[in-house]
Amino acid sequence: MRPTPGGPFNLLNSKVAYMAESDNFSSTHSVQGTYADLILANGRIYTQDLANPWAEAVAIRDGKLIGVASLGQIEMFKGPNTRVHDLQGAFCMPGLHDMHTHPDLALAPRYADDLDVGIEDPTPEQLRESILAYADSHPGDGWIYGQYWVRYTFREAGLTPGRAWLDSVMPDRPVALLDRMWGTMMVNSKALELAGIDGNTSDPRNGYFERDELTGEPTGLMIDGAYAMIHAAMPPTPVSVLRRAYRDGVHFQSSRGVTASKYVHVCEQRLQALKALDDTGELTVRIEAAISWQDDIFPVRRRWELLAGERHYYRSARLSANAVKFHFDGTVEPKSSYLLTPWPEEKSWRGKLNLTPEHITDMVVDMDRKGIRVIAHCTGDGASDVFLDAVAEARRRNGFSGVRHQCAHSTLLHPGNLPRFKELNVIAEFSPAAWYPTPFASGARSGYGQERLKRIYDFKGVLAAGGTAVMGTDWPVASIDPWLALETMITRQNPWNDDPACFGDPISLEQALTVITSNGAVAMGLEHSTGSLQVGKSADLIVIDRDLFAAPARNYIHKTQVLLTFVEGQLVYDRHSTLEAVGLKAVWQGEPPVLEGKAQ
Amino acid sequence: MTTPRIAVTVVSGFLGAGKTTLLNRMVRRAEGSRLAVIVNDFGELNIDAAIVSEVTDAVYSLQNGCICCTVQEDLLAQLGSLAQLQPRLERIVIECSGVSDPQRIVQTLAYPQLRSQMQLDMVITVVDATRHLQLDGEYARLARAQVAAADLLLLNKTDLVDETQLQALREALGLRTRVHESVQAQLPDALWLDTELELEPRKVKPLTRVSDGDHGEMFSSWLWQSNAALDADGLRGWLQALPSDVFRVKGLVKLAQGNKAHWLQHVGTRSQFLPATDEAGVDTTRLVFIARRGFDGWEALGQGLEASTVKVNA
Repeated sequence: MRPTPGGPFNLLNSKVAYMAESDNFSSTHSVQGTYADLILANGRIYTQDLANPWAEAVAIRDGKLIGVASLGQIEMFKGPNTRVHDLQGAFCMPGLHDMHTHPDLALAPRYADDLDVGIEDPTPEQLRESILAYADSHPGDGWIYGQYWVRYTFREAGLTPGRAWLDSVMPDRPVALLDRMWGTMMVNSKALELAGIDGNTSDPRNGYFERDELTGEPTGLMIDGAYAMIHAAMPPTPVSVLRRAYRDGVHFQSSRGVTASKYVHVCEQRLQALKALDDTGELTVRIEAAISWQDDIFPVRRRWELLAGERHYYRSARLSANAVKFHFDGTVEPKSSYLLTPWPEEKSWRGKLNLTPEHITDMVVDMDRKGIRVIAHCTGDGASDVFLDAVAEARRRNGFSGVRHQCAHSTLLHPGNLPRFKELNVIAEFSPAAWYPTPFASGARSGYGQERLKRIYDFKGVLAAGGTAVMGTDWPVASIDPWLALETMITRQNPWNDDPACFGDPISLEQALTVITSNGAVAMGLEHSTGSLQVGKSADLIVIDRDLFAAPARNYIHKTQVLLTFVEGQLVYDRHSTLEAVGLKAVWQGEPPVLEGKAQ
Repeated sequence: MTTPRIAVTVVSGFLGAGKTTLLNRMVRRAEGSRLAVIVNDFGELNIDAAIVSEVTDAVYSLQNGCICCTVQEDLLAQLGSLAQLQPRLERIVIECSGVSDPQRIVQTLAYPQLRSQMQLDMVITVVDATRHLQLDGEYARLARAQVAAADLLLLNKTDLVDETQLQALREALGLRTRVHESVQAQLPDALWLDTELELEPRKVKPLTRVSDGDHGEMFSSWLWQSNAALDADGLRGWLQALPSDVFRVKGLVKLAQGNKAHWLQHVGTRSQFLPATDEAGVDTTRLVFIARRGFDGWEALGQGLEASTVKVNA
């Protein structure tokens, strides 16, 4: 979304007017007005600016802050056409930065028109009817993809699940169905043919396909990582589905006060969906989209074109694809995080690194030279050690390129690496999935062992060493609500009960606010234009229903309601449509959409 | 019969069904054999500390040679390291959590990196005769999945239910499944250990009684042999139609397709073929069947196999 004509506030009926009106970008010699377009007055304004930490009013012109000051000082910006809104003492602060999340992965499967059998334990006969009904309602020769089947109803019926059975139901269209345990995908012969899988095909590293023991031919049961072999042959998720997923994602984020976010893992389809939102004024969050380096989540068919320069076609003030996402290691549950020392109760098992250190180094150096930020999934302390070594090599060969690379999750960091985040200009990103006690996190707790848990998600260590720590919700792994993450950064305790258990080291409210605002701006490469409320910066700010400093964080901060959200001075969210009184209509109004079940 | 691969027994069953009692029996039965048992909780086994000879890295070595350890998050890695133990293990028993679908573990065992070192021998599901039919919701579905994944059902605590209830259980468990009824999780060795099966060729007849009454007078076994090759599809059809009194079929088969010999291992309703290396006599098919004592369908089984042979000149 770019600023609309007549200043960024002319948004009443903007959807109709948009295409017919001229652009209004500002550049060196473009004409600027004298007075503010909008003044937000009488607020308790936390600026995140050390020189001027609190203010009473802000003045906005052409999307930028021209005054952040006391009520008296702000008067000079008030002209005949300036709109003034009285905050009535409400708390105002810079917008939140969610530096790692995946609305597409969480929502697109819900919106895709896939086959949903809809029966808890479908018999093979019910499954057959369901496939045939879907084929009737979706004529043609396209893929039939969906869920679920269960193994035991096949056993009970004396049948063997696999290509032979599926061929008897649907011989001429490719079919792929997931089982309810999500461990097996059943495919027919047509699907195997389109995926180019036969008896000579090798198994992937992280799974296998079942073979007939006598002939070696695939039986049509794909186990674990072998799903990807079928996904690679399927058409990509339609742009329309992805667009709906991202639209709901940014709608939620705007209504929860997020003004900048990173959508980590995109392909050309996803960039098209984001651009479509941007073009129609619905991309209400600044997005950095990271192109996937590997095909393990979805295939990226135009990876090399995108990385070579095609990504620039998507660029705007709201959208950048100057980033690439790598999966360096795995996760705690299957003990695939790559550690510096063996896992608890293991003699030698340190986990897995998905790429060789040489591959990682060469590509970090290459991406760095191209001005592309590397966002590297590193859960184990061994993975981040290898990543920091690769960045050190990039700095040695390229000098400081101006690109700060990002260590994603940073679940475990070696104490010796804490100062290297500052030294090498690397962002330490932490995701809240297991930084406070929940049944899920307690699983992770037992996995890493007690010694490592003491230093899990070490915000404090990185900050103390002068590094830039940021937060990424990593939805759907954890909740997409940034206020839950903010509260638990400060408490490191369960936000819903009074269990005294605490994971890792808490940080102060002031530190947490830095993490979620100005440090986020640094991670976006936007520290000169957002992240704090300072004259000259973009008006990316929020108004909320409570003073964050007025009560202890626990069970308080996560209940925060956002009232107003501005991005580049544009009113993107107005919970109670309050500003319609001064002629401003927000893109989103009312309660935030419900995207996830109530967390515990 | 010797196979280079370690046999794996998976023990499943709902909470309280009697898995721990069964595992305890297996641990004690291990005398002299190279057996490892992976359990959910070693403490539950209630092993007398006096018979634990060594503990390293939470692996307990018992005086009778059995090795016990607690299941790790990464079963794949854990099995991989157990496979490296010297002298080599003969068998690994894995206990599934009471509220899990054993299919997950069955799938892990088929991972390419394990397939060359170990093979699933059988899935035994212990069914609690007093509670199985009372489970509902997600628990009932899990119990159903556990029953469906089993090659052998150990219907336990049959002394605590009456004949009507027992009959209802038999019907619920289905006709195709191999069921052994027990009290205190008593599982005859012949049903899970196969070391005593003799495969020496005999001169006299194609179908020979090998033993009768050796296994606590519960099971008898027969050997079938032939010089003719078997048709793979015919053999598979014959295996799928085996009566439920037949618990196990194993041996060496010469298949007409590719003229190759394979080790065959059939338990319950599941068959596995493994290419035989040339050390074994490739020219004959020798299969041993083990069935419930009193089973009288031997002749029919032999005839079924005869029908699957491929005549050289045909």
